[in-house]
Amino acid sequence: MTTNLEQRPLPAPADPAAPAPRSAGRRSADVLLRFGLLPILLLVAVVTFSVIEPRFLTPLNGTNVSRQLSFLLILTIAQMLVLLTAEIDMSIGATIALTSVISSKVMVAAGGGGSGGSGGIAVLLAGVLAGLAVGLVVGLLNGLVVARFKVPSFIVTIGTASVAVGAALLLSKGAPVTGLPPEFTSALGTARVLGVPVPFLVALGVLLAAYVLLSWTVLGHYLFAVGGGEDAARLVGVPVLRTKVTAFVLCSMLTSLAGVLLTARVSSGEPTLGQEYVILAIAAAVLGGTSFFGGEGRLGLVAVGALFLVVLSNGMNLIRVPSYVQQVVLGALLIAAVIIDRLRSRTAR
Amino acid sequence: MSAEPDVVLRAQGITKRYGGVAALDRVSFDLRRGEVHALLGENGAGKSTLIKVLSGSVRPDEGVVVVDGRQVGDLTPTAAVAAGVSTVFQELALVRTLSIADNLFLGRELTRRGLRRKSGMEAEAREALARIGVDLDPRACLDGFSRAQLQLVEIARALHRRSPILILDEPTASLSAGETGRLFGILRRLKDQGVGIVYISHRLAEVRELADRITVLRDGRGAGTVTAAGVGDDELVRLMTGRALGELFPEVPRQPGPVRLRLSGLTSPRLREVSLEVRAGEIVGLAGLVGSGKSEIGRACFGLERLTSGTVEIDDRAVPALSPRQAMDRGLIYYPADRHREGLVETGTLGENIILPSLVAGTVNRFGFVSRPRSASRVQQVVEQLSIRPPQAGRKVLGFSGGNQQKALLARAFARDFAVHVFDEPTVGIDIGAKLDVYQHIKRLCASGAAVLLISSDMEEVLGLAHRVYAVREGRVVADLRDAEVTEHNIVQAFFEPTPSLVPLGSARS
Repeated sequence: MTTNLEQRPLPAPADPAAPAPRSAGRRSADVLLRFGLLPILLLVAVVTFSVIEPRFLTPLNGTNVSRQLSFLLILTIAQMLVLLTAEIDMSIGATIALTSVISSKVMVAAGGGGSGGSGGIAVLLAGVLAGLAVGLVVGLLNGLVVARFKVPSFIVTIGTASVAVGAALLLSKGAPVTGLPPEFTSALGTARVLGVPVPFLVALGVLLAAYVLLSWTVLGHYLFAVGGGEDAARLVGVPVLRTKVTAFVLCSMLTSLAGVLLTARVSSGEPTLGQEYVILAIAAAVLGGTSFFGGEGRLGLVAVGALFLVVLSNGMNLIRVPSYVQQVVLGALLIAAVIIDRLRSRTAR
Repeated sequence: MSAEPDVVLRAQGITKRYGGVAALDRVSFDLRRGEVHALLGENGAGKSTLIKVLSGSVRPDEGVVVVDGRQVGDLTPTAAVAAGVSTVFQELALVRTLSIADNLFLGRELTRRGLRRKSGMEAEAREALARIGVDLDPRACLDGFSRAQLQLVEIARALHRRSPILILDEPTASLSAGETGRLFGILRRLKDQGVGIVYISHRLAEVRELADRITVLRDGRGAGTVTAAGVGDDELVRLMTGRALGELFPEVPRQPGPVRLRLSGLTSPRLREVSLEVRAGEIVGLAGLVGSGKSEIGRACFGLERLTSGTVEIDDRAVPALSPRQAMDRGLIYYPADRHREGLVETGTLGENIILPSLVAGTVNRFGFVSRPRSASRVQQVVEQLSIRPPQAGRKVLGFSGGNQQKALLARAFARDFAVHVFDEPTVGIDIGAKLDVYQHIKRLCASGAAVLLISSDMEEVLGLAHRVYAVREGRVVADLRDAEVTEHNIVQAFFEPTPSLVPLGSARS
C-alpha cells in the first residue's frame, strides 16, 4: 500500500533571505561595484598630475577646472535625467549650437549694435530666454515623439540633432554670429562672485536643484520608476508619457542653459559649438554609475564623473598629451564604464 | 550502489540559488529508459528550475547531471540536445516569423551543396505533424497561431528529433481534452519504444494516469518519489504542500452587499460579450485554461485590453475612458500576474516599490514633494501587515524571495481605499508561507467590504477561496457557479464542454 521509495523528511526551511556568506575578496568586489572605480580613478588622476606637473595644483588651474566643469556638470545632469528614464538624448550638442546661434541673433537684433546702458540687461535677458526657448522646443519634440510613438530615443534624437544643427547653420549662414553685447559676455562669461566664476555658481545651483528634484519630489521618484519598470509604473498609475516628456524638456533646457553660458564664454554665436559634449556627458553620467538600462543613478557620483573627466582632460592638456590620444582615452573609458554597468546589473539579478 | 543500467538521465544533489534564495536544494532525480517520470509540485516548488538544469539552460551551483552514463560537465542547451535531451518548455522557443518547417529544422537544416532543401524539410515536417495527428500546413507562418497550436508545433519539433529523452513542461496547459488524449497516446507509444519522458504537470489525475513514477518537489527540495500505481490524491497533496488539503485556505465569510463591479458585454479581439458582477464582501473566482481569456477580462477592467464594446461599472458608475489611472481614480485596482515586467520596478528597493502607488494616489506627498515621515510609516505598515521578510525597506526588491516580491506588489492596496480588487494569478511561483499571507490579505480586503475578483489557473485556490465562480472559455463566460455548484468537476466540465461555434484547433487561422 505504501509505495514510497525514497521519501525523506524535509529539513527545517532556512531563512530564505539570509544573505549567503561572503569572503573578504567578494566584499571588496561588492564595494567596487557599488561605488565604481570612479573615486579611486579620480584620486589616482589628481595625484599623478600633481606629481608630474606642478602647475596642476594651483589656484589659477583650480579656477580653470571649475570653469570647464561648469558646462560639463550641467550637461551631465541633463543627460542623467533622460538616462534615468531608460532613454538617451543624442541631440545635446546640436541643441547647444542652435541655442548659441538663436540667442546671439536675438541679442544682436535687440541690442542694435551693442549700445550698452540700461537696455543691456533687457537684451541679455532676451538672449537667455530665447536660448531656453530653443531647449523647450527641442525637448518637447524629442519627448513627445519618443513617448507618444514609442520609438527609440537614440534614433529620434539623432534626427532632431541633424535638424537643429542644420537650422543653426542656415540661420548663421555657417559663420559665427558676432557683435554680442559686452554685458552678456562679461556677466555670464568672465565675471566672478567672491572669486568664483559665475558659470560655476550656475552649475552648483543646477546640482542643488537636481538633488532636490531626485531625492525629494514625486517627479524624481517617477523618473526612477519609469526607467526601472515602465510597464510596472504605468500599472500603478504613474503618468509615464508626461514623465518622459518632462525628462526630455528638463534635459534640453539645461542644455540650452549650458549653451548660453558657452556662448558667453566664446563671445559669439557658434553653429559648431558643443559637439564634443554629447559623448562627454554620456561618459560622465555612465562613469558616475547611471545605468544605460534606466532606473539607476546617483547624483553625487555623476557629479564626480563630470569632475573626473574635466580633471583628466585638464591634466592631459597640462602635460601636453596630444588631443588625438585624449580622444582614444575618452572612448576607452566610456566602454569600460558600460562594461562595469553591465556587470553591476548582472550581479543585481 | 551500482548504477542501474536502464537509467538514461540522472541528476544528483542539484542546488541552484538565485540571490539568497535556493530554488533547488540538493535535489536528486533519475529517469529510466521507457518510463514516464512525473515531476509534481506547486508553483515555485522548483520543477521548472530542475528541468532547466536537466536541459542545460540553467547551470546548477552544485550537483551533477549524468546523461546516458556520461557525466556532462558544462551542460549547455546545445550540449543537452546533442546528448539526446529534447525539452518542450512552457515558454515556447519558436520563431514566430518563420514557418512550421523552418522552426522544426532550425539550427539543423537539411542542405544539399550548401543550399537548403526546402521541399525535403517540408515533407518531413508534414510527416512529423501527422505523427501527432495535427493537420497544419508546414509552410504556414507561426504568426497568428493560437497558443495550443504553437504548443503542438513545439511538441512535434521535440518528437521529430527522435531523442531518447523527452522533457515536457506542462504540455497540456493549453490543450483541449481531445488533444490531450492524443498526446497521451503518442507518449505511451514513445515509452514503448524506450524513450524516457519527464512529465511536468500539476494536474493530479493526469499525472496518475500517465506516469510510472512521481517525484514531488516542495519549496525546492525533493519531498519524495513514489510509484504512481496506487498512490492517492491525498498522499500527493500532502507531499506537495506538507499539509492536508483543507488547511491552506482561510474561511472567508460571505456577506454580499451591493454590486461594486459590473461588466456588461465586454468585447475585444479576445473577449466575446463578457458580462459579470461582483458584490461587496464577496470573492468571485474566474477560472479557465491558459489562453481562455480570463486574464484578459481582468486586464480589460483596468484599461489594458482594447475593447470594441462593453462597459465597466464601478459602484454603478460607468468608467468612460478606461486606463489604469482612470480605473484607480474610480476605485478599482489590478494586481498583474507578471510580477517582473508589470508588477515591480525591478531596479528599485522594496521601500520604493511600496511607496510608488501611494505617491500616485497622493497619500504620502504634498505639493509634489515626498513626505519622509508619511512614506516611512506607510512602508512600515505594509511590511508589518503582509509580514514581508526581511523587513529591510532599503534592500533591492530583487533580493527578496518570490513570495515577498509578490507582497511588495500587493502594497498598492494600501495606497488608498479601493472598492474593487482584481487579482491576476496572485500566488504564481511563491512558497506556501507567502501564499497564506496573500490569502489572509485577500480575506481582510473582502471583510472590509471590498469586492474581490480572483483570476487563477490554480483550481484549488479558486475552490478554496472563491464564493462564486465564473468559468471562462474561448473569451466568454460559459458558466456561473454558486454555492454547492462550485466543484472541480463542474468547473473542468465547463472548460471542455464542446460548443458548435468553436474553431477546430488543428486548423490554422490565417
